[in-house]
Amino acid sequence: MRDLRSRLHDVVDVGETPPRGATATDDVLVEVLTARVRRRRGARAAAAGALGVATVAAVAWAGLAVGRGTAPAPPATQPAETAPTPTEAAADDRTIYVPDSLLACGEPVPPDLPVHPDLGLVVEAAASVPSGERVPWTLRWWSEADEPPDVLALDIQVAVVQDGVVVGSTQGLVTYDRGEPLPTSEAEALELSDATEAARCGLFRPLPAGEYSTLVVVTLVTADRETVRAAAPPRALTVTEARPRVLACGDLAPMDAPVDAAAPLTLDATTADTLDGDALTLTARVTSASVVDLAWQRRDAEVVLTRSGLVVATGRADLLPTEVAAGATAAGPEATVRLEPCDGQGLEPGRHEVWLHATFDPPGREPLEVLAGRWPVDVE
Amino acid sequence: MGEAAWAPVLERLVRERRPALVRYAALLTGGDLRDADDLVQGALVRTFGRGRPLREVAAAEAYVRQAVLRVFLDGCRRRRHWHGLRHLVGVPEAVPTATAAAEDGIDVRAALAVLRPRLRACVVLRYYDDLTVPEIAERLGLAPGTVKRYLSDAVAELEVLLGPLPDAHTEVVAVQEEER
Repeated sequence: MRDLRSRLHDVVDVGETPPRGATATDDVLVEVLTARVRRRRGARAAAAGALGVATVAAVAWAGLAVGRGTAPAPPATQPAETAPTPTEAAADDRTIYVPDSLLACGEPVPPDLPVHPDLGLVVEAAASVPSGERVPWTLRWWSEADEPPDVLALDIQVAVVQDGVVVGSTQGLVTYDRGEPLPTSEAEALELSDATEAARCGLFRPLPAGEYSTLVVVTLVTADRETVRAAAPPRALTVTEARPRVLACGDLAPMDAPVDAAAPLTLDATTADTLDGDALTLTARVTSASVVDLAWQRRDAEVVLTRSGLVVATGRADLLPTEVAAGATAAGPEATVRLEPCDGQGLEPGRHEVWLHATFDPPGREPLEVLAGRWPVDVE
Repeated sequence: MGEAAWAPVLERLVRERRPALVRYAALLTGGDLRDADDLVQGALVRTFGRGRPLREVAAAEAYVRQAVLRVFLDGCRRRRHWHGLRHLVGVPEAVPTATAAAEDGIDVRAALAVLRPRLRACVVLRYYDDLTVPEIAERLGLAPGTVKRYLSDAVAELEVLLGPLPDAHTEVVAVQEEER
């Protein structure tokens, strides 16, 4: 019986000699790494040199604010005698200005979408989703420039477009505490994966079945306050008919969740004792027989409320974990789900039961439906 | 600071400390030494590319170890997408049992490999780097309570694979009792 500390130290301190990579010898590796470091240092020095004294203070920023619209003139462009002190400049510089969105809900897509020769941009998005479900996408970006700029913020707008008009849109912003160098090749590209609601602008109603496209516009704000904007080529998107709910309003719930011993995944949850209005707080857990990356495969889980065996309210939420190790249980984030009463009015006070249903899409295989429940919850 | 100052430090790190750095990184990569080697090279470039005045090999190595962790966690975030998906209903990966571990002398790295990346990072920072829970929380941008939970979960999973881990188990129990 040995303790963990000594086992870890044994592995690191007196372990095997790692294999040589493609670089073969230390001489070559030193040369390659030195060149990479020199290039990176050169890029940073070039960026800092262009910014001047005022922005050097910005390197120590702890946090950033974001504004939209026209940015004030950058401090570095002010004459030296009127330049703010570094402290003042740092305070002023805490706001990053991102230009107004290019794609507006209900508006036509501009005819000339921006492209930028130095910004590599690739979007992969689902080609088809059932109505009411989200459109998963992954964005990858990198620089093609010889001296890539450091980036302070990345504004990402994902729009669903039909007949040249934006019918659904979401927007997100990635910020860095300080300038982050862009990778210089597609192989090292930065990535972000998420999913966008396929819902009508502002209404959060599912888009009807039909042909759409997914369009992504990215705006980078560099350390010297330049904005670089580019759009990725649109991706075709088919919204199909909504998937039938496993437990729909008025359905009779099973006495207990079916147990399938052969299922590679099982669901479990911890729910609040009482409902807060129409909001239920719960934490879902997934147990798996094998290592599973759920980030792409999962869909939003359906939460169903039953009373006396009948479905009386339903909801949907992204509450599953993103990865499960082999033979392990992983918990998703604590989530609050808005439940929509089937009668469109309200829930009756008293004891109810919560059910959780999730569908997983293993690549190239039939979807896997998992149902779990019935956890008691009181409506006051 | 010109290249003449940092370049020899980088060279010495590569020549003298690379094997240990790669083995350290392999704790995070779950034992894959080639991935660990890539991780270390990325960390070296990130550390020396920052423009820090790195003159001492030991200090530089400490920075590189921190960068190894950041590069690893960044990589995990990047990989959280549909490239390279492992099949959901694929053949379950072999999970060694405690008995098998005892019989086969299973590598602690193989056991670490079954942990989720953040749990693995917590274990390495706590039981290899000897950081405190608040220090780990700060390093990983997590709440201290989350770190405690991760460590507790991780130790429980590791004990299934490696058998009893007296030091880790005692600490976890002590933390749980403190919270009561």
